[in-house]
Amino acid sequence: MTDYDLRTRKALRRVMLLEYGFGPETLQQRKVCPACGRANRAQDTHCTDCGAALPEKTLYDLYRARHRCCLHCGVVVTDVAVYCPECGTRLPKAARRRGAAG
Amino acid sequence: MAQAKKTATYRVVTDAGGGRSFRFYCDLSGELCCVTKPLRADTEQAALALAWETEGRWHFNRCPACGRYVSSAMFNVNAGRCLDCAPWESEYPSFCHHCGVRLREPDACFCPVCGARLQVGGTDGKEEATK
Repeated sequence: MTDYDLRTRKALRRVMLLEYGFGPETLQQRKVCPACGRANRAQDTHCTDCGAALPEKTLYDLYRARHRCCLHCGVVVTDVAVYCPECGTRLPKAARRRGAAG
Repeated sequence: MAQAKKTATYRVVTDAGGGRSFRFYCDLSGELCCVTKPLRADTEQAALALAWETEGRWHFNRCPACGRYVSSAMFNVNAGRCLDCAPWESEYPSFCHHCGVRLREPDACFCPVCGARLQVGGTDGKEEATK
């Protein structure tokens, strides 16, 4: 049984993203088996399908490694951000990245 | 210009009876998203096309910017692009990403001070909130 708090719009949105498999929280809860590709829970150490050892890193770690992050709170920020939208810390200048969203 | 991908990354598994089943993977994370039932066709390309159209494609989101087929987890539904092309942005930011001012209105689409759009990638669902 879920213990979702649906009292605010923000909470409702969070639940909707989780239920449909979108969003950063979904990434935090998922690991991909390098052998068979099956999605596993973040706390699993071995694949529930083929038994192969799972990496330490979740999909969220993979996602963070490919993007610019706030040095203070660690949240992923866009290339155009000057300040972190979560904690307000001023960000270092973004390095030019290929194919950034236009 | 690179030719657009027709299907997600896949592997073919051929059974003893000659049927081919396809395993389709997310182009970004490598997650297995779909295993099709065994299909029979004259060629592998014909079987692939059939497997993709009838089963595979419904499990993926296509990024219009880079053409990759990705799982829901690797897709920014607000921006309509994959997470490589458009990372997730906070839907309820506390600070303006452009001028750094603290925001009082959690559902705002634009910064009240500098006027910057608060979600550069997309604002799906927020336009309703500001009406």
